[in-house]
Amino acid sequence: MNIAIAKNRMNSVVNMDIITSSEADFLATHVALETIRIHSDRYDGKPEAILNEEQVYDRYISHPGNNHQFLLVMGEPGTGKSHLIRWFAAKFRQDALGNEVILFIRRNDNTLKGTLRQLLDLPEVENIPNKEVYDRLVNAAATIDNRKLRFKIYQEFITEIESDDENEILSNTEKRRLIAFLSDENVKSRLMSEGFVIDRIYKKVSESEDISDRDVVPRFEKADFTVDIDFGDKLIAQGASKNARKMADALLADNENDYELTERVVDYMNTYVDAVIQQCAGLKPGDLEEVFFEIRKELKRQEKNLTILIEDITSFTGVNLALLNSLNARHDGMNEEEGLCRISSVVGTTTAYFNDFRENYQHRVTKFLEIPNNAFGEKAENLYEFIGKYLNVMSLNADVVENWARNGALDEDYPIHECVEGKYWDYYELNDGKRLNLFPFSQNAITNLYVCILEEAHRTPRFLLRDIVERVLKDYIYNRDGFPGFQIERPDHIPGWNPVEHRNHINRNVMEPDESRRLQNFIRIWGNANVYETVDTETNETYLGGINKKCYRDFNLPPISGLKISTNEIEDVKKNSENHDKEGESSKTANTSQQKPSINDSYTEIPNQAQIDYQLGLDTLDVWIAGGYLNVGATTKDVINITRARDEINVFLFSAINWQQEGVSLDNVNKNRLLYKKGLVGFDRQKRGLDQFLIILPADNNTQSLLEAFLAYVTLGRKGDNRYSWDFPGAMRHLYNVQLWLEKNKKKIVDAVNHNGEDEVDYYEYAIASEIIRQILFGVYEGKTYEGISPKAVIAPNLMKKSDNSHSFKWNNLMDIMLKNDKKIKDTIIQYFNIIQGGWKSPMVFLRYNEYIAAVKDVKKKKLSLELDKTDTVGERQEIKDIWGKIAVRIEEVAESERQKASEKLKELKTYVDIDDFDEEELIDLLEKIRAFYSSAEAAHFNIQADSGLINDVKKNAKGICYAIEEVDKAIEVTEPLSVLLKFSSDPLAKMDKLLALCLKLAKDIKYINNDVAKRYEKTNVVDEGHEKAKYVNERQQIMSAKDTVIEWEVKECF
Amino acid sequence: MFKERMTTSAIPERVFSLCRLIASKEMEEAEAREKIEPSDIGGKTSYFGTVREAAKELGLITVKDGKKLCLAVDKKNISNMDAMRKYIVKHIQNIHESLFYAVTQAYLGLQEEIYKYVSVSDKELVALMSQKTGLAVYEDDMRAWRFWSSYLGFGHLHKINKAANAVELLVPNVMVYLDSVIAVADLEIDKKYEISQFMDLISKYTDIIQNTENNDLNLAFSYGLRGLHDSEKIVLEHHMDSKDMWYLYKDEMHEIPNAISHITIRR
Repeated sequence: MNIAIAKNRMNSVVNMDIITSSEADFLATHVALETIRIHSDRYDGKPEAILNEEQVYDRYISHPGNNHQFLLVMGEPGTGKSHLIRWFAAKFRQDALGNEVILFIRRNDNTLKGTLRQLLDLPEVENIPNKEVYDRLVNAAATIDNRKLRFKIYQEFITEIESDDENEILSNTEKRRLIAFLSDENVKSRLMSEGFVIDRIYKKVSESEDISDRDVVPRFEKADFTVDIDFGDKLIAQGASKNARKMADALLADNENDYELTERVVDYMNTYVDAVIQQCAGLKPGDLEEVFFEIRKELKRQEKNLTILIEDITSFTGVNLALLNSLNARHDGMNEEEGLCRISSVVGTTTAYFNDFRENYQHRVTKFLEIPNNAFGEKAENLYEFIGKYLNVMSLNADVVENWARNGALDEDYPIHECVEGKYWDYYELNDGKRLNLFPFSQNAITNLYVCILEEAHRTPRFLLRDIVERVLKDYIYNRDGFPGFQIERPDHIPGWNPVEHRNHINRNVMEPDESRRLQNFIRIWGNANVYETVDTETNETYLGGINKKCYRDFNLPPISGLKISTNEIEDVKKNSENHDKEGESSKTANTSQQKPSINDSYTEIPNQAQIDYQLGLDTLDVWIAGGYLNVGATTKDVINITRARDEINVFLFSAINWQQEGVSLDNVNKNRLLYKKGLVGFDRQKRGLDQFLIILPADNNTQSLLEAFLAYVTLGRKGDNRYSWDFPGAMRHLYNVQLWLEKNKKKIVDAVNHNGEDEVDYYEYAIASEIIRQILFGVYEGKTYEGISPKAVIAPNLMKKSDNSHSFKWNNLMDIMLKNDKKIKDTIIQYFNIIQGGWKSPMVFLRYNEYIAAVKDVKKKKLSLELDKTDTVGERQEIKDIWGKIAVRIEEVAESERQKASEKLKELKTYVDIDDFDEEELIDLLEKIRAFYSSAEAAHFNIQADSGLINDVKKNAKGICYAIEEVDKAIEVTEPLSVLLKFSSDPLAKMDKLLALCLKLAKDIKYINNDVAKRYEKTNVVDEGHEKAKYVNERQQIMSAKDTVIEWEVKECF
Repeated sequence: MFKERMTTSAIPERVFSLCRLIASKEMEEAEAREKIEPSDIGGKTSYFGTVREAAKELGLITVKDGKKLCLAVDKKNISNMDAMRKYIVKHIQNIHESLFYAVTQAYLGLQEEIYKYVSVSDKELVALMSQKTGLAVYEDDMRAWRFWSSYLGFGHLHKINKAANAVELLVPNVMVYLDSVIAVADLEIDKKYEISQFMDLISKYTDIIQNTENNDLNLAFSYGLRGLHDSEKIVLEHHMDSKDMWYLYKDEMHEIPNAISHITIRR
């Protein structure tokens, strides 16, 4: 490369379509087309011959004699038709045949007017009749500004439809609706946008210098009238006319069925394409035919013949039939008297465009010259030669190339520039041994960029030059410190690192992200995508990734050392590790045995999807590490595998950490698992959900290695939906990174699971405390102090339902609360201390006994006074604390209410019984007296009755009742809430209540008797006082006797 | 567990828990069983027997008078599970004849081939273990093997197959095991050992992870050493002029890609 020259020459050499481009440059950059298929009758059958371009030129182009011929160069867009035709023209001119006038109509001036202008500019036609008229016609200022041309084209179509009353492809109603549809602003905007029909036609009519893909056909296609629901809704929303909406609805329904209407609309519109183009160009078909005939007559007069080469027949859209008629008008036979010269025409057309008029013209074609798809660039060598020649020519002064062309453009004289830049660079060797230096490309770079930048439809010389050669050169010239920094449209096609982990070598050695990216792209695109460093023993040159290390200096790329493997060492390693890495060894040997990048004949092969996905993920991670965000969790293509990798990291962590060995209860791990559904670890600078992970891993190289390993696992190791394996090349190194990472980070993870903030996880203590209280409240425990509750009892199956009791309302209320959670509490304690094999929970119990005993002891030591101010971040753990919170907050009031109730009851009982030293004997004696009372009352015919059941119950429980009274009497003096609960745990009030109930009944019955006695007494005094006194003297004595008895009971207030 | 068949219920944590109980007080088996497996909770199946046997086989406990369980080791050896691992590693030859020992050697000998599997109980892998060991190996053996192999530090368990009843694959790397080996072997800190001398000193402990008939170390051993090297617990060196050379499983991306001639313990 000679940049000093190339800076000036690049534009003219690369832009081969511009009018001013040099034919010498074209010849010096030309690469021969090897495969041209020759057909006689039909272009789509088996070819009668396959020739290279030289052979075609010799056989059909250079010596047409006096034979009329019409040669059609066929091929799909981009196959190189125009390049071939241009070469024919240049070659023909070089051969300089005396009486042959050669007219080459280039695509770059492909407007109708431009084409006619070229015809009229021929020196041979200077004197044709009416020349001045024709000149005025084609040289007149454009009738319309190019900027307004799109609107003009659009409007012309509407005008054509409006004035149509003959065409029967569409009904009148359909035409009205179509006009309304086309008149809608949304439709108009759509059809005029890039890629749609008006834009395609515009490019054929306008005189712009734009170099786009000119093989597009300027005709309506189904896609132009394919509408979807959203578009229909848009029309409605923006107030489209009724008829426009009806057409949109009809097209929408049609698009979903058979496209019958759409096809008719397309056919209908295409009938007006020629007319619209002619109208916009200000020309008529007759103009072209007239000019042509005049030119041919003039040439005949000069005894000359005409060879016309037309790069692209679509240049004549609007008058293409007129052109074909002109080209097919023979000079002999019936036309002999017309005085026309012989014409040999070579016309390029796409297959699709020719199909529009093949029926009428197919039989007039002398030969079809078919260029198969990918004939250009079919072999990688063609690309190297092509680019090598361009780089060479732009590094040569123009006069050198002109001289060579003038002297016959002979291969043996082909000039080669002297390298100023890139002396050590890769090259392509021509057949005669001349070397085309490829700086700043390498052969690998050419083949890789061909795939990574150009879509298949754009793999043509034009796009190769514009999007690869020009782009790379400009990047090198104007952005040397950032090179390679040019745009790569298909980055997922850049070869991945092979072996994949070589990427890490770069990351480890180049910390600055932009520099790392440059170096990585350079080695992956220019080199062999590895970091092996080898020495060529013959030249003593050192290569990194297949690229001479001096080349790295040319781009100011970071100087790094690769993985040094000498030839001897390769052998050594090979011998020693023959048994354990055959695959890896062979790849290394292959890479180091050759110093130059290999020519990749299969460059058109794209990497498999797994590799593409892996590489895309790596690139995403690079952006993240460089300070970007990680949109993990999204389902977009760039992060979906990062999300999967994150999920799999978390699966791994749950299984790889031996939690129980690390002192973490599986019950606790499971509670974390249920909370952090997406996993324990998330990542710094992830766009969302940072609060949904227990641990946020930093955006550093360690995390990157971890993520990359699992990215490889979910891409390279993907075996199906949600199924993966480590069975892929290089997995062992990824796993090593993962395992090393785990050993270094395990404590942090374990601590995070086992802590709530700064505090160790202690929810099991709350469960133990809750269970202790439950056992007291429900009377499961009958001891005097809670310290006496045994660890065995705490986990024993002793849950109880609530039964009738004499506890206070609040006591009962708390029992109800506990009943809702008693099983959960019990399970939590058991599972927290259970040692489980292969799962998160187990009905089988094998306790961490020592730890369990210590925990119960600890809770008791704290007197059940547990911290409640701090909230646990894990919901299921907090739930246990919350349960305890509900209990703890009630303990004092429950105790107080129970004490209050006991106090009241005891006070009431004391109104009937003196409880001081009240023992079982006294109670039995009392019961006997009660029985006697009821007997006497019965004998005296009072309407009361003893409750034998109650009396018997009291008698039966006499000892317990006395004890209960004594206990209650003591309990009401206790103030410490837990002690109060313990005092009332066995529900002594229930026993005391029996006696109290008996007393109440007795009191009530005595009161009744008193009332009744008084009534009876009054009765006796009212009727006959003296008689009555005598009459009831016995009864009175009995009652008085009973009264004396009752007084002895010391039930004082009744009497 | 370490005599005939391997048993899934005798997991390391249970053996450790039993040892801790016995360490606090010698007691009759019935009492210990009732404490650890209370008869009124949990299932009816008792794991106690298999756990006790595993502890006995490892030499951690003894049974006096046919029924009294006693700790057979100093209490410091069961102060935590790391200490217990070191004790077991130190006496690994006690289980030299066990199926566990044979399966471990065979499993780690598979090198990268192990990555073809997704679970230690994959049918093909179980069959391969039988073939490699020449002993009958059943799925349950492998299920049990995974608990002890991951505890002793032969690798990490990875739940690749997500089916509920599927078990993990042990991804080999003996870094944790070697860490214990270095702790129990009679090695001097900061002394630069020639590699063969070092390998001799640790051979009775490392025979289970690789029967070193030649100087090539398997994948698990190699990455174990690299892991300790990268954790700065040891220093691996390759002196080109040394005649004494052992070879790690090749990894040209690592600082120590293949050959090692010297090793230094750093603590």
